[in-house]
Amino acid sequence: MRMKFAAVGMLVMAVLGGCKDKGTASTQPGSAQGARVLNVYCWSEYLPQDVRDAFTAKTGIKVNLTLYESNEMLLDKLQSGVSDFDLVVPSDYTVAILKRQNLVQRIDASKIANWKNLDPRLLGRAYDPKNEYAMPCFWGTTGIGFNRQAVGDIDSWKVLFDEKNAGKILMLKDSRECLAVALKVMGKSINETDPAVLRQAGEMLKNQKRLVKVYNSDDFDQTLGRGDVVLAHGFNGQLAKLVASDRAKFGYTVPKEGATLWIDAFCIPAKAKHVAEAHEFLNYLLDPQVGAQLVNQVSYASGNVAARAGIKPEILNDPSIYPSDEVIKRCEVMADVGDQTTELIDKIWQEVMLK
Amino acid sequence: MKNGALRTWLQLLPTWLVLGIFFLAPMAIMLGISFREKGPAGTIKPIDDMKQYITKGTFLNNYRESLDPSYAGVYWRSLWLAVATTALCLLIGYPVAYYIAIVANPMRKNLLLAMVAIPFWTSFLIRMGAWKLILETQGVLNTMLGAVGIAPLDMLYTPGAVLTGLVYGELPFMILPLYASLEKMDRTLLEAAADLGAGATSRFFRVTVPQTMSGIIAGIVLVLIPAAGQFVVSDILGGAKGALVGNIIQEGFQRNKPLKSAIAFELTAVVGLMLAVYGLYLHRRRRKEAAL
Repeated sequence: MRMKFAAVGMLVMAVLGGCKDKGTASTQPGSAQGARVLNVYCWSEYLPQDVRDAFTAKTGIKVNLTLYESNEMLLDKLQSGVSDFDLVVPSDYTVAILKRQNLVQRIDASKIANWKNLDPRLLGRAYDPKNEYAMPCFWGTTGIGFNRQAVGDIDSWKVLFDEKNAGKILMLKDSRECLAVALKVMGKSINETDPAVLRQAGEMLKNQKRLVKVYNSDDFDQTLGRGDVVLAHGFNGQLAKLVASDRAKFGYTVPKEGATLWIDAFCIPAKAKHVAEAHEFLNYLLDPQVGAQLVNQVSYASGNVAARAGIKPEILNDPSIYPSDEVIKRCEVMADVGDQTTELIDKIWQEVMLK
Repeated sequence: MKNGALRTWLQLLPTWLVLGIFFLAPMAIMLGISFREKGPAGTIKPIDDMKQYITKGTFLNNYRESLDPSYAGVYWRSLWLAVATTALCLLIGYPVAYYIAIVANPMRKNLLLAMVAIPFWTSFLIRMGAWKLILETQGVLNTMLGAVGIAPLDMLYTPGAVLTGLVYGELPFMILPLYASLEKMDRTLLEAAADLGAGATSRFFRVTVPQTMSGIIAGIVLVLIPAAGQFVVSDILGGAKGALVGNIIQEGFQRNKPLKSAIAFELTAVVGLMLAVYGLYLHRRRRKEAAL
C-alpha cells in the first residue's frame, strides 16, 4: 500500500525523465512445461528485477510478478477465487481479513531456515499472533511530511486541523488512515470500534475537509516536494526519500500522539499451487545478503534483521526509514476491526468524501 | 422469402452477439446487483425472503440512498462541469473546425486534422499528469507568470483545473463531427444568401449554423456524455472538493458494489435519456428532410 505510485506519476516520469525499470513489468502467471514457477502478486517496487533474476539463476524457479496498488484490489482478486497466485503481500489488517475468510494457508517455518532472521519486534502482532500465516517483509510508519520553511518543526497531528494551514494540507485518500489521525488526536486507539467515538472522529474529518487541499495516496511526496502543500499525511517510505533530498527544507515526523505502524507481509494463498517454491523464495528473501540488497534498492525498512550489516548506513541510520524503539512503541498496528465496524467506517468515509 | 429473413438474421447475429455479451449482459448484471444489499467485505448479501424483499421495497434501498440530499453537491458539480465543458468545447471547437473545413488551404486540411488527432497517441493519464505539471504551484504556467512579475496563482486542485482538463480532453470529439458537417455543407447557399443581401453574421447564423446542426448535436452528445461520467480528470486535477459522480462510483466500488451499481445505473439512465432525445431529434429531422 505504501509503495503504490500512481500510474500517472510513473508514466509522466517515464516520459519526462526516462526512469529506470524498478520492476514494474508484469508478466502473466503461467507455467512453462516442466520448469518450476512461482506466481507472485505484489506491490510495485518491492521485488526488483535483479533480485528475482538472481533467485531464478540460483534455483531454476521462474518468478512471474503481477502488481497491485491497494489491499482492496488484492482482497478482490483472492475473494473472486479465480487467481492462481502462490505469494501475496497484504498489509497487516488485510492479513487478518484473509485469514478470517480462509483465503490464506499456514506458512511452514520449519522449511524456512532463515526464519530466525526475522525482526522479533514485528512478530506476534495481533493480525497473526502465532506467526503462522504471514512473514513480515517491509514495514514503516504513517506520519506527516512537512515543509520546514513554512511550518517550522512540528510534532503533533493537530497541525492538520489548524486554520493557519488551510488549503496547504494533503491527507491520504484512505479511510482507515484518516480516521486513525482523528482518533489519535482524540487520544483513542486507531482500532477503535465504539460507533459513537468513530462518528465523532468522522465529524472531525468532515470539519477538517475545508482545510484540505487534496486527498492523495499515490504521489503525496511529490505534491509536498513541489510546493502545492506544506503538510502531507503520508507513508514514511516515499516521504523519507523527499526528506533525504533536502533536509534543510523537508522533515518527517511520527506525531507524539502516536501513529500507524504498518507491516506488509508475505502470505501464501489457500489455493496456491507452488507451495514448495513459495517457501524457497521466502527463505531466499530472508538471506542476509539478499535482504540488504533489497533494502538498499527500495529504501524501506525490512523485517530481515540479519540484513542490517549490509544495509547502507544512510538508510539504516535514517530515523524516517528505521524509526527508534521509542517511536515504534507509540505506534499501533492496524487490526481487522470486523465487518460491522468496517461498514460504519465506509459509511463515515463516504460522508467525508461527499461533504 | 423465408430464406432471406434467415440470412438477414444471420448477418445481424455477430452484431447482436457482441452487443449482447459486452453491453447488454453486463448492464443486466449491474442492474441486478443494484437491487441487492451489500454484505460484509465486498460481498453481496443473499436474499432471505424474496416476497418480503420486494413488497417491503428493500430492493430500492440503494436508489433511495443514492438520492439522499448529501449527494446533491456531487451531482450538481458533475452537471455544471459537464455542461460548461460542452459549451466551452463548442465555443472553441466551432471556429477551429470552421477554419480547417472552410478557410484553410485544402492541401493543409489533412495536416490540421492530424494535429487534432495526434494527442490521442499519448495516454490520457499522461496528458492529465502533464496538466498537473502545468498548473501546479511551481508549475510551468506559474513559472511563466512569475517571469512577468505575477505572483503564483492557485490553479491546481480547483474546479477551474478540472474544467480545463475536461475541455482539453473532450475538444477533439467536438471538432471532428463539426468538421465533418462543415465540410459537406452546401456552400452555394452562402453565395445565394450573399446575393440576396445577407450580411456575414446573418449568413453564419441563418445558413451555416442550421446546415451544421447535426454536427453540433453530435459534438454535444460526444462531449457531454463522457464529461458527465469522468473520474480520471477530477481525480488528478480536482483536489479535496473536486469529486464528481464518476469518482463516487469508482472509489470503493469493491466495498459496496450494490450502491455504486445503482448510482452508475442512474448515470446511464440520464445519459440514455439524453441519447433518446437526440434520437428523436434525428428522427424528426429525417422526416422533415424526406418531406421536402
